[in-house]
Amino acid sequence: MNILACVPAELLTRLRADCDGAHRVYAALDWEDVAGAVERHPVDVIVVDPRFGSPATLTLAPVLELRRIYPATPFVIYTTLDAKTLPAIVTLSLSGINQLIIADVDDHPLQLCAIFERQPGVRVSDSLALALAPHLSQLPPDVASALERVIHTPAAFDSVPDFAAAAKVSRRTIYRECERAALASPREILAAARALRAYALLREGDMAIEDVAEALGFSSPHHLAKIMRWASGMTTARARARIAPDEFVQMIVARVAPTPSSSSAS
Amino acid sequence: MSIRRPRGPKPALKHLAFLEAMIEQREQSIQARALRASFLTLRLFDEWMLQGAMVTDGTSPMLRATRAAVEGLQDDGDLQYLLGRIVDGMLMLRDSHPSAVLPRLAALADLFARRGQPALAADIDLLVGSPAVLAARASAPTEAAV
Repeated sequence: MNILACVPAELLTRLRADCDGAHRVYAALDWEDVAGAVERHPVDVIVVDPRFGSPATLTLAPVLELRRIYPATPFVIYTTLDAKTLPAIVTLSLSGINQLIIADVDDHPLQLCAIFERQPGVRVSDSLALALAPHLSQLPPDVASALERVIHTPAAFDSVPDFAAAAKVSRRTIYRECERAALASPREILAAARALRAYALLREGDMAIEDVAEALGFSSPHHLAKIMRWASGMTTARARARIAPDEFVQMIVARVAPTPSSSSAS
Repeated sequence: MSIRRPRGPKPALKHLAFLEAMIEQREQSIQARALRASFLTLRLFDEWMLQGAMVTDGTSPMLRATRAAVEGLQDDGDLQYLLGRIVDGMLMLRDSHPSAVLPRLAALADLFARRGQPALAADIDLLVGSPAVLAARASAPTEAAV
Protein backbone atom coordinates (compact mmCIF):
# COMPACT_ATOMS: atom_id res chain seq x y z
CA MET A 1 0.00 0.00 0.00
CA ASN A 2 1.15 3.52 -0.74
CA ILE A 3 0.41 6.31 1.71
CA LEU A 4 0.90 9.98 0.92
CA ALA A 5 1.34 11.85 4.19
CA CYS A 6 0.50 15.52 4.49
CA VAL A 7 1.14 15.70 8.21
CA PRO A 8 3.56 17.51 10.54
CA ALA A 9 6.99 15.97 11.10
CA GLU A 10 6.05 14.43 14.45
CA LEU A 11 3.14 12.45 12.97
CA LEU A 12 5.17 11.58 9.88
CA THR A 13 7.79 9.97 12.11
CA ARG A 14 5.09 7.88 13.78
CA LEU A 15 3.55 6.90 10.45
CA ARG A 16 6.91 5.80 9.15
CA ALA A 17 7.77 3.90 12.32
CA ASP A 18 4.39 2.15 12.35
CA CYS A 19 3.80 1.51 8.65
CA ASP A 20 7.11 1.46 6.82
CA GLY A 21 8.12 -2.02 5.83
CA ALA A 22 4.56 -3.21 5.44
CA HIS A 23 3.62 -0.13 3.39
CA ARG A 24 5.30 2.73 1.59
CA VAL A 25 4.95 6.15 3.16
CA TYR A 26 5.66 9.17 0.95
CA ALA A 27 5.85 12.62 2.48
CA ALA A 28 4.58 15.81 0.88
CA LEU A 29 6.87 18.72 1.73
CA ASP A 30 3.98 21.19 1.92
CA TRP A 31 0.49 21.62 0.46
CA GLU A 32 1.92 22.91 -2.82
CA ASP A 33 3.96 19.72 -3.17
CA VAL A 34 0.98 17.34 -2.86
CA ALA A 35 -0.13 17.38 -6.49
CA GLY A 36 3.48 16.77 -7.57
CA ALA A 37 3.80 13.92 -5.07
CA VAL A 38 0.70 12.24 -6.55
CA GLU A 39 2.38 12.54 -9.95
CA ARG A 40 5.62 11.06 -8.66
CA HIS A 41 4.25 8.11 -6.67
CA PRO A 42 1.45 5.60 -6.71
CA VAL A 43 -0.97 6.72 -3.98
CA ASP A 44 -3.67 4.58 -2.38
CA VAL A 45 -4.48 6.79 0.59
CA ILE A 46 -3.88 10.47 1.32
CA VAL A 47 -3.41 11.23 5.02
CA VAL A 48 -4.03 14.83 6.02
CA ASP A 49 -3.63 16.90 9.15
CA PRO A 50 -5.14 20.41 9.02
CA ARG A 51 -2.15 21.55 11.10
CA PHE A 52 0.24 20.59 8.25
CA GLY A 53 2.27 23.54 7.04
CA SER A 54 1.04 26.06 9.58
CA PRO A 55 0.41 24.65 13.04
CA ALA A 56 -0.64 28.06 14.36
CA THR A 57 -3.44 28.60 11.84
CA LEU A 58 -5.21 25.55 10.49
CA THR A 59 -5.55 25.38 6.73
CA LEU A 60 -8.52 23.60 5.21
CA ALA A 61 -8.62 25.03 1.70
CA PRO A 62 -5.78 22.84 0.35
CA VAL A 63 -7.41 19.68 1.73
CA LEU A 64 -10.78 20.57 0.25
CA GLU A 65 -9.09 21.33 -3.08
CA LEU A 66 -7.31 17.97 -3.01
CA ARG A 67 -10.62 16.25 -2.30
CA ARG A 68 -12.03 17.98 -5.37
CA ILE A 69 -9.11 16.88 -7.56
CA TYR A 70 -8.88 13.30 -6.25
CA PRO A 71 -12.42 12.32 -5.26
CA ALA A 72 -11.77 8.62 -5.91
CA THR A 73 -8.78 8.45 -3.55
CA PRO A 74 -9.53 7.71 0.11
CA PHE A 75 -8.57 10.48 2.53
CA VAL A 76 -7.83 9.92 6.19
CA ILE A 77 -7.63 12.70 8.79
CA TYR A 78 -4.74 12.15 11.21
CA THR A 79 -4.57 14.79 13.90
CA THR A 80 -5.05 15.56 17.56
CA LEU A 81 -8.53 15.86 19.04
CA ASP A 82 -8.70 19.22 20.79
CA ALA A 83 -10.61 22.48 20.74
CA LYS A 84 -8.38 23.84 17.96
CA THR A 85 -8.70 20.93 15.55
CA LEU A 86 -12.35 20.02 16.25
CA PRO A 87 -13.99 22.54 13.88
CA ALA A 88 -11.56 21.50 11.13
CA ILE A 89 -12.31 17.82 11.68
CA VAL A 90 -16.05 18.49 11.42
CA THR A 91 -15.64 20.58 8.26
CA LEU A 92 -13.49 17.91 6.60
CA SER A 93 -15.96 15.23 7.62
CA LEU A 94 -18.79 17.18 6.03
CA SER A 95 -16.73 17.31 2.82
CA GLY A 96 -16.94 13.52 2.68
CA ILE A 97 -13.85 12.34 4.61
CA ASN A 98 -15.10 9.58 6.86
CA GLN A 99 -11.97 8.25 8.52
CA LEU A 100 -10.26 9.82 11.51
CA ILE A 101 -7.09 8.74 13.26
CA ILE A 102 -6.65 10.52 16.57
CA ALA A 103 -3.02 11.08 17.51
CA ASP A 104 -2.08 9.37 20.80
CA VAL A 105 -5.30 7.36 20.71
CA ASP A 106 -5.39 5.38 17.48
CA ASP A 107 -1.77 5.39 16.41
CA HIS A 108 -0.80 1.92 17.52
CA PRO A 109 1.08 0.15 14.67
CA LEU A 110 -1.47 -2.63 14.17
CA GLN A 111 -4.35 -0.23 14.51
CA LEU A 112 -2.91 2.27 12.03
CA CYS A 113 -2.23 -0.39 9.41
CA ALA A 114 -5.69 -1.89 9.88
CA ILE A 115 -7.31 1.51 9.31
CA PHE A 116 -5.33 2.15 6.12
CA GLU A 117 -5.83 -1.35 4.77
CA ARG A 118 -9.59 -1.14 4.98
CA GLN A 119 -9.82 2.02 2.89
CA PRO A 120 -11.70 1.34 -0.35
CA GLY A 121 -9.51 0.13 -3.17
CA VAL A 122 -6.39 -0.58 -1.14
CA ARG A 123 -6.57 -4.36 -0.94
CA VAL A 124 -7.81 -4.92 -4.48
CA SER A 125 -5.16 -2.59 -5.93
CA ASP A 126 -2.45 -4.43 -4.00
CA SER A 127 -3.82 -7.77 -5.25
CA LEU A 128 -3.85 -6.52 -8.83
CA ALA A 129 -0.30 -5.14 -8.57
CA LEU A 130 0.86 -8.46 -7.15
CA ALA A 131 -0.82 -10.45 -9.93
CA LEU A 132 0.74 -8.21 -12.56
CA ALA A 133 4.23 -8.18 -11.03
CA PRO A 134 5.71 -10.62 -13.58
CA HIS A 135 4.50 -8.35 -16.41
CA LEU A 136 5.67 -5.18 -14.68
CA SER A 137 9.16 -6.63 -14.41
CA GLN A 138 9.31 -6.89 -18.22
CA LEU A 139 8.57 -3.19 -18.72
CA PRO A 140 11.10 -0.36 -18.76
CA PRO A 141 11.27 1.20 -15.25
CA ASP A 142 9.41 4.41 -16.18
CA VAL A 143 6.60 2.50 -17.87
CA ALA A 144 6.35 0.05 -14.97
CA SER A 145 6.22 2.91 -12.51
CA ALA A 146 3.47 4.64 -14.52
CA LEU A 147 1.51 1.40 -14.68
CA GLU A 148 1.85 1.02 -10.93
CA ARG A 149 0.41 4.50 -10.55
CA VAL A 150 -2.47 3.59 -12.87
CA ILE A 151 -3.26 0.60 -10.65
CA HIS A 152 -3.12 2.52 -7.37
CA THR A 153 -4.36 5.96 -8.44
CA PRO A 154 -6.52 5.31 -11.53
CA ALA A 155 -8.46 8.54 -11.31
CA ALA A 156 -5.27 10.52 -11.93
CA PHE A 157 -5.28 9.29 -15.54
CA ASP A 158 -7.91 10.50 -17.97
CA SER A 159 -6.53 8.99 -21.14
CA VAL A 160 -3.71 7.08 -22.82
CA PRO A 161 -1.71 10.30 -23.45
CA ASP A 162 -1.71 10.86 -19.65
CA PHE A 163 -0.40 7.33 -19.18
CA ALA A 164 2.25 7.84 -21.86
CA ALA A 165 3.31 11.17 -20.38
CA ALA A 166 3.66 9.59 -16.93
CA ALA A 167 5.78 6.84 -18.50
CA LYS A 168 7.85 9.47 -20.34
CA VAL A 169 7.31 7.77 -23.69
CA SER A 170 5.20 8.41 -26.77
CA ARG A 171 1.68 7.06 -27.15
CA ARG A 172 2.92 4.62 -29.74
CA THR A 173 5.75 3.38 -27.56
CA ILE A 174 3.51 2.69 -24.62
CA TYR A 175 1.28 0.53 -26.81
CA ARG A 176 4.35 -1.33 -27.99
CA GLU A 177 5.77 -1.82 -24.48
CA CYS A 178 2.46 -3.16 -23.18
CA GLU A 179 2.24 -5.58 -26.06
CA ARG A 180 5.81 -6.72 -25.47
CA ALA A 181 4.99 -7.43 -21.80
CA ALA A 182 1.94 -9.47 -22.84
CA LEU A 183 -0.43 -6.87 -21.45
CA ALA A 184 -3.66 -5.53 -22.88
CA SER A 185 -3.63 -2.18 -24.64
CA PRO A 186 -3.04 0.92 -22.47
CA ARG A 187 -6.64 1.95 -23.15
CA GLU A 188 -7.92 -1.34 -21.76
CA ILE A 189 -5.55 -1.15 -18.81
CA LEU A 190 -6.91 2.27 -17.88
CA ALA A 191 -10.49 1.05 -18.24
CA ALA A 192 -9.77 -2.03 -16.11
CA ALA A 193 -8.08 -0.01 -13.36
CA ARG A 194 -11.01 2.40 -13.23
CA ALA A 195 -13.50 -0.48 -13.18
CA LEU A 196 -11.62 -2.01 -10.24
CA ARG A 197 -11.63 1.26 -8.30
CA ALA A 198 -15.31 1.78 -9.10
CA TYR A 199 -16.07 -1.69 -7.78
CA ALA A 200 -14.08 -0.99 -4.59
CA LEU A 201 -15.76 2.35 -3.97
CA LEU A 202 -19.17 0.76 -4.45
CA ARG A 203 -18.49 -2.32 -2.40
CA GLU A 204 -16.27 -0.97 0.37
CA GLY A 205 -16.96 2.75 0.23
CA ASP A 206 -20.75 2.65 0.44
CA MET A 207 -21.06 5.14 -2.39
CA ALA A 208 -23.92 5.41 -4.87
CA ILE A 209 -23.24 4.53 -8.52
CA GLU A 210 -23.77 8.12 -9.65
CA ASP A 211 -21.21 9.39 -7.13
CA VAL A 212 -18.67 6.75 -8.12
CA ALA A 213 -19.10 7.54 -11.82
CA GLU A 214 -18.57 11.22 -11.06
CA ALA A 215 -15.55 10.59 -8.79
CA LEU A 216 -13.81 8.50 -11.44
CA GLY A 217 -14.48 10.95 -14.23
CA PHE A 218 -16.93 8.82 -16.22
CA SER A 219 -19.15 10.97 -18.38
CA SER A 220 -22.23 9.25 -16.94
CA PRO A 221 -23.27 6.19 -14.89
CA HIS A 222 -24.13 4.63 -18.25
CA HIS A 223 -20.49 4.88 -19.32
CA LEU A 224 -19.43 3.26 -16.04
CA ALA A 225 -21.99 0.50 -16.63
CA LYS A 226 -20.50 -0.15 -20.05
CA ILE A 227 -16.98 -0.51 -18.64
CA MET A 228 -18.25 -2.65 -15.78
CA ARG A 229 -20.04 -4.96 -18.15
CA TRP A 230 -16.87 -5.25 -20.24
CA ALA A 231 -14.82 -6.03 -17.12
CA SER A 232 -17.19 -8.36 -15.32
CA GLY A 233 -20.05 -9.23 -17.65
CA MET A 234 -22.54 -7.72 -15.19
CA THR A 235 -24.26 -4.43 -14.48
CA THR A 236 -22.55 -2.17 -11.96
CA ALA A 237 -25.02 -2.90 -9.18
CA ARG A 238 -24.90 -6.67 -9.77
CA ALA A 239 -21.11 -6.71 -9.86
CA ARG A 240 -21.03 -4.93 -6.51
CA ALA A 241 -23.57 -7.25 -4.95
CA ARG A 242 -22.55 -10.59 -6.42
CA ILE A 243 -18.82 -10.64 -7.14
CA ALA A 244 -16.37 -11.16 -4.27
CA PRO A 245 -13.29 -8.88 -4.28
CA ASP A 246 -10.80 -11.67 -5.11
CA GLU A 247 -12.99 -12.85 -7.96
CA PHE A 248 -13.30 -9.32 -9.33
CA VAL A 249 -9.52 -8.89 -9.23
CA GLN A 250 -9.14 -12.14 -11.19
CA MET A 251 -11.57 -10.81 -13.81
CA ILE A 252 -9.50 -7.64 -14.09
CA VAL A 253 -6.28 -9.64 -14.36
CA ALA A 254 -7.84 -11.64 -17.17
CA ARG A 255 -8.59 -8.36 -18.98
CA VAL A 256 -5.24 -6.68 -18.31
CA ALA A 257 -2.98 -9.68 -18.84
CA PRO A 258 -4.96 -12.00 -21.08
CA THR A 259 -3.48 -15.44 -21.57
CA PRO A 260 -3.53 -16.62 -25.19
CA SER A 261 -6.43 -18.99 -24.43
CA SER A 262 -8.54 -16.36 -22.61
CA SER A 263 -8.01 -13.76 -25.33
CA SER A 264 -9.02 -16.15 -28.05
CA ALA A 265 -12.11 -17.15 -26.03
CA SER A 266 -13.33 -13.54 -25.58
CA MET B 1 -35.79 -5.77 -3.94
CA SER B 2 -33.55 -3.38 -5.86
CA ILE B 3 -29.81 -3.84 -5.44
CA ARG B 4 -29.20 -0.26 -6.46
CA ARG B 5 -28.22 2.04 -3.63
CA PRO B 6 -29.96 5.41 -3.58
CA ARG B 7 -27.78 8.48 -3.89
CA GLY B 8 -27.50 9.83 -0.36
CA PRO B 9 -25.54 12.46 1.51
CA LYS B 10 -21.75 12.27 1.40
CA PRO B 11 -20.30 9.79 3.88
CA ALA B 12 -19.17 11.47 7.08
CA LEU B 13 -17.28 10.48 10.21
CA LYS B 14 -19.07 8.15 12.55
CA HIS B 15 -20.47 9.87 15.65
CA LEU B 16 -20.13 13.28 14.05
CA ALA B 17 -22.95 14.48 16.31
CA PHE B 18 -20.60 14.15 19.29
CA LEU B 19 -17.88 16.19 17.59
CA GLU B 20 -20.38 18.87 16.62
CA ALA B 21 -21.63 19.01 20.20
CA MET B 22 -18.05 19.20 21.50
CA ILE B 23 -17.36 22.29 19.42
CA GLU B 24 -20.02 24.14 21.35
CA GLN B 25 -18.45 23.37 24.73
CA ARG B 26 -15.60 25.04 26.52
CA GLU B 27 -12.55 22.74 26.49
CA GLN B 28 -12.19 20.75 29.72
CA SER B 29 -15.71 21.68 30.86
CA ILE B 30 -17.73 18.81 32.35
CA GLN B 31 -19.81 18.62 29.18
CA ALA B 32 -16.78 18.59 26.87
CA ARG B 33 -15.16 15.81 28.87
CA ALA B 34 -18.43 13.85 28.90
CA LEU B 35 -18.76 14.15 25.13
CA ARG B 36 -15.13 13.20 24.54
CA ALA B 37 -15.37 10.13 26.77
CA SER B 38 -18.60 9.07 25.03
CA PHE B 39 -17.09 9.63 21.58
CA LEU B 40 -13.99 7.59 22.43
CA THR B 41 -16.10 4.78 23.89
CA LEU B 42 -18.28 4.58 20.79
CA ARG B 43 -15.18 4.53 18.56
CA LEU B 44 -13.69 1.78 20.69
CA PHE B 45 -16.89 -0.19 20.12
CA ASP B 46 -16.67 0.44 16.33
CA GLU B 47 -13.07 -0.80 16.22
CA TRP B 48 -13.86 -3.75 18.47
CA MET B 49 -16.60 -4.75 16.04
CA LEU B 50 -14.14 -4.54 13.15
CA GLN B 51 -10.98 -5.91 14.68
CA GLY B 52 -12.03 -7.83 17.75
CA ALA B 53 -10.01 -8.26 20.91
CA MET B 54 -6.92 -6.61 19.40
CA VAL B 55 -8.25 -3.16 20.31
CA THR B 56 -9.07 -4.12 23.87
CA ASP B 57 -5.82 -5.82 24.81
CA GLY B 58 -3.72 -4.20 27.51
CA THR B 59 -1.32 -2.47 25.12
CA SER B 60 -3.96 -0.69 23.05
CA PRO B 61 -3.56 3.09 23.31
CA MET B 62 -7.17 3.40 22.18
CA LEU B 63 -8.32 1.44 25.23
CA ARG B 64 -5.97 3.39 27.50
CA ALA B 65 -7.19 6.77 26.20
CA THR B 66 -10.82 5.71 26.47
CA ARG B 67 -10.38 4.41 30.01
CA ALA B 68 -8.59 7.60 31.07
CA ALA B 69 -11.38 9.73 29.58
CA VAL B 70 -14.05 7.69 31.36
CA GLU B 71 -12.17 7.76 34.65
CA GLY B 72 -12.01 11.55 34.38
CA LEU B 73 -15.79 11.82 34.61
CA GLN B 74 -16.04 11.76 38.42
CA ASP B 75 -18.50 14.64 38.34
CA ASP B 76 -20.93 12.76 36.08
CA GLY B 77 -21.43 9.46 37.86
CA ASP B 78 -24.30 8.17 35.70
CA LEU B 79 -22.40 8.61 32.46
CA GLN B 80 -19.17 7.31 33.94
CA TYR B 81 -20.96 4.17 35.15
CA LEU B 82 -22.60 3.51 31.76
CA LEU B 83 -19.46 4.12 29.71
CA GLY B 84 -17.42 2.01 32.13
CA ARG B 85 -19.91 -0.86 31.72
CA ILE B 86 -19.65 -0.64 27.93
CA VAL B 87 -15.85 -0.75 28.02
CA ASP B 88 -15.87 -3.58 30.58
CA GLY B 89 -18.33 -5.52 28.41
CA MET B 90 -15.92 -5.40 25.48
CA LEU B 91 -13.01 -6.41 27.68
CA MET B 92 -14.83 -9.42 29.05
CA LEU B 93 -16.01 -10.78 25.71
CA ARG B 94 -13.29 -12.50 23.77
CA ASP B 95 -14.91 -12.01 20.36
CA SER B 96 -16.88 -9.13 18.93
CA HIS B 97 -20.32 -10.49 19.72
CA PRO B 98 -22.16 -7.33 20.60
CA SER B 99 -25.19 -8.93 22.27
CA ALA B 100 -24.05 -8.23 25.80
CA VAL B 101 -22.90 -4.69 25.03
CA LEU B 102 -25.95 -3.57 23.06
CA PRO B 103 -28.25 -3.11 26.07
CA ARG B 104 -25.58 -0.92 27.62
CA LEU B 105 -25.36 1.18 24.47
CA ALA B 106 -29.15 1.45 24.44
CA ALA B 107 -29.01 2.65 28.05
CA LEU B 108 -26.47 5.28 27.00
CA ALA B 109 -28.80 6.45 24.23
CA ASP B 110 -31.62 6.68 26.80
CA LEU B 111 -29.43 8.76 29.09
CA PHE B 112 -28.70 11.29 26.34
CA ALA B 113 -32.38 11.36 25.35
CA ARG B 114 -33.39 12.07 28.95
CA ARG B 115 -30.80 14.84 29.10
CA GLY B 116 -32.35 16.55 26.09
CA GLN B 117 -29.66 15.58 23.59
CA PRO B 118 -31.69 13.76 20.93
CA ALA B 119 -29.00 14.02 18.23
CA LEU B 120 -26.56 12.09 20.42
CA ALA B 121 -29.21 9.52 21.34
CA ALA B 122 -30.08 9.10 17.65
CA ASP B 123 -26.40 8.59 16.78
CA ILE B 124 -26.17 5.69 19.23
CA ASP B 125 -29.52 4.25 18.09
CA LEU B 126 -28.12 4.26 14.55
CA LEU B 127 -25.06 2.34 15.74
CA VAL B 128 -27.15 -0.22 17.63
CA GLY B 129 -29.32 -0.78 14.56
CA SER B 130 -26.48 -0.76 12.01
CA PRO B 131 -26.29 -3.70 9.60
CA ALA B 132 -22.80 -4.69 10.87
CA VAL B 133 -23.98 -4.86 14.47
CA LEU B 134 -27.16 -6.72 13.56
CA ALA B 135 -25.20 -9.22 11.46
CA ALA B 136 -22.69 -9.81 14.28
CA ARG B 137 -25.53 -10.24 16.71
CA ALA B 138 -27.23 -12.78 14.46
CA SER B 139 -24.03 -14.78 14.04
CA ALA B 140 -23.31 -14.95 17.78
CA PRO B 141 -23.35 -18.60 18.85
CA THR B 142 -25.06 -17.87 22.16
CA GLU B 143 -26.12 -14.82 24.07
CA ALA B 144 -23.08 -14.11 26.19
CA ALA B 145 -23.94 -13.16 29.73
CA VAL B 146 -21.69 -10.53 31.24
